[in-house]
Amino acid sequence: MSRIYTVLFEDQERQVEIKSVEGEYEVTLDGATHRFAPLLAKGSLYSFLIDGKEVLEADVVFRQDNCELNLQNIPYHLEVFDPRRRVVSQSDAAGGGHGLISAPMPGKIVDVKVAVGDKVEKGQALVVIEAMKMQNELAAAIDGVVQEVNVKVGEAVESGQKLVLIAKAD
Amino acid sequence: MVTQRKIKKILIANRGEIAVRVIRACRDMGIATVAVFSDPDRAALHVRRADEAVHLGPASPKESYLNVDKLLAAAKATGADAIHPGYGFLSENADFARAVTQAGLIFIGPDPEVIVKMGSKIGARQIAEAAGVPVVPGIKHALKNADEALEVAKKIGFPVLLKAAAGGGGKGMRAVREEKELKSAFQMAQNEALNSFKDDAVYVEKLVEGPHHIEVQVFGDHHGNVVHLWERECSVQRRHQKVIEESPSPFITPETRKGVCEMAVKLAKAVGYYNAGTIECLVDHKQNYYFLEMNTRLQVEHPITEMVTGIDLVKAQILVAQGDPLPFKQEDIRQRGHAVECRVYAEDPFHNFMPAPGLVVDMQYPLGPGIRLDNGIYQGFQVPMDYDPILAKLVAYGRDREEAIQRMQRALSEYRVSGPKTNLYFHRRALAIEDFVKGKYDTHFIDKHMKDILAVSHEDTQKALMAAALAKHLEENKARPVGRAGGVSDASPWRLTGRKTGMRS
Repeated sequence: MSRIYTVLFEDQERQVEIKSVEGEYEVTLDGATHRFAPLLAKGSLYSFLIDGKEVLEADVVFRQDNCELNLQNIPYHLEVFDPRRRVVSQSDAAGGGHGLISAPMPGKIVDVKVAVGDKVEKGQALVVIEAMKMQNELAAAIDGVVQEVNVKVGEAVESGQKLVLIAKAD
Repeated sequence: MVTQRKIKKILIANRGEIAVRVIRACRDMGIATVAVFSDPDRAALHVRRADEAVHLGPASPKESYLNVDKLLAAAKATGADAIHPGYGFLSENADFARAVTQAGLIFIGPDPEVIVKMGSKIGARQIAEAAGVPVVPGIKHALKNADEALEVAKKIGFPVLLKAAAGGGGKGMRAVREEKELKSAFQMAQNEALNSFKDDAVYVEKLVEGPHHIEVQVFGDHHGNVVHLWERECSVQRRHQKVIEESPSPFITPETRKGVCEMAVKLAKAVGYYNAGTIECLVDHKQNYYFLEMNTRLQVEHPITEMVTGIDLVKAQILVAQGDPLPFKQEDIRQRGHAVECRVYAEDPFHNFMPAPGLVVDMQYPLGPGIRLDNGIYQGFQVPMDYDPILAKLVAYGRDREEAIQRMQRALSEYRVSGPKTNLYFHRRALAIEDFVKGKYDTHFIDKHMKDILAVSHEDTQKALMAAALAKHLEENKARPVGRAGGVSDASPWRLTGRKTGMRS
């Protein structure tokens, strides 16, 4: 029995096929197949023995389809989903584009510049988040109307947490 | 004023790796330690390592690590007789230093009046000029016209930099390399300044080309002795933040080394400096050097000086603070071998160095010949979002520069932090860039090589995509052990995942 997963990385969708074989897995990407024997320890840290000879360690944390992967100190932001059962994201529900603004890092909200019903333009600052003495301004990626504001000033947020949702302008 | 009394207990008014570093020196000397902590730092390494620990308050530095009253109360409650400020926080705050002294405690640092004097860049520049120390030449008043600009430029020597007095962000700034370019450059700078800032005032200073950031460690005692402990090369910077440092500098000549070190001692003597301090300089590509500023505290990168001189700077700080004479003489301080330091930050180099606090899921320490790790975290620790992103300092020592870099690369390949994103990969790549290997780099190094440093091989990315898909598959099929969200246990062995796990549980 095999399953196909779609991995989205740097705006490119790739298909990865996974086949379960005697407690191990045959993983196929771009026509190349490797056999993975996984070990799991310490929560989200995996060690994979690849083709019986190479050890690869990766810390993998999922938030629904979003995936934060740390491959031997190289960080990756990915999306991984079963193409048949994709969780319809709120940004798609809001009319496509990137209407959803999520926290890019864990931090504290120090400013919320918009309210529900506000008309916003692409590039307009919505929320300011601070962590480790560094402030980041999060801006609208599309023109539209603010549909949801899920945070208030002073609130601590997790990485990937939904902050503001914008409905695309007609 | 010489204090002459043995310090028995030190409160460390800091957190993280530097607090741990100070605790180590205290342990070596048989001095008791008091850590302080904010709410999110209750389980921090410095708290676990100290003999005693006092809670200060909430996460906000104002209510914890910057709160002078609470720090003094903690010192009183624990019977500490001295306070070490570390770096950052209150380390260069003269009011704090005074308050400590007024409370009858010893401040492990310089005279508060010296902190004030050297804390102002303009004031420090004036003191340096008066002491006959070179500063970046130039005039700080507006030039009347191009003729005056030419006159001044000739005096300080080309190339020069024309700068808008109201300037910022590179606007109204013009580098001028030759006399004949000056007139039109002056007009352009003036126009740009007028358009950008509604103010056409332009001044001129010497252009420091291919600048190197070189700093000299100085040390003084209460008996009038001042020595230097040679230089550190700190030119690998991003956004004026140091990332990699080394000692000795691969760039400066023996004459320049002699020059900057003598200058540093001269300046420290001129202000009656005692305890550890650092004189920062700019050195241009022709080995001209200029005083930049003085840091009146221990530096982050002090370990590389400790490695090449064999001197424990924190221990020396404590000895000097209790009134002892410097435990070393200038002629005994030598640069032996080579040391490199990589600052390990919780940040994502691939996304504009965005801070990355969070739970440390796993950590593997680098060890082996020539390696020192000044570390402030451990597996299971939640790195707070409220403070500097520095997690640790990795230092490699070798008989020569080549060996130090090789050992650093080996250590970086062993070192693993899972959970918070780190710049460990950035370091591995940066150290392998040819300009760094050859020691031919200046403060433009990171900007120049950023793309190369952040390159990831196709092979690694393919593996990451496969690993992500497989991890997703294992999660969806509930192949992961569940109910482990509460934390991380050292005792837990690795578990086979997939069907075998299902059968075992």
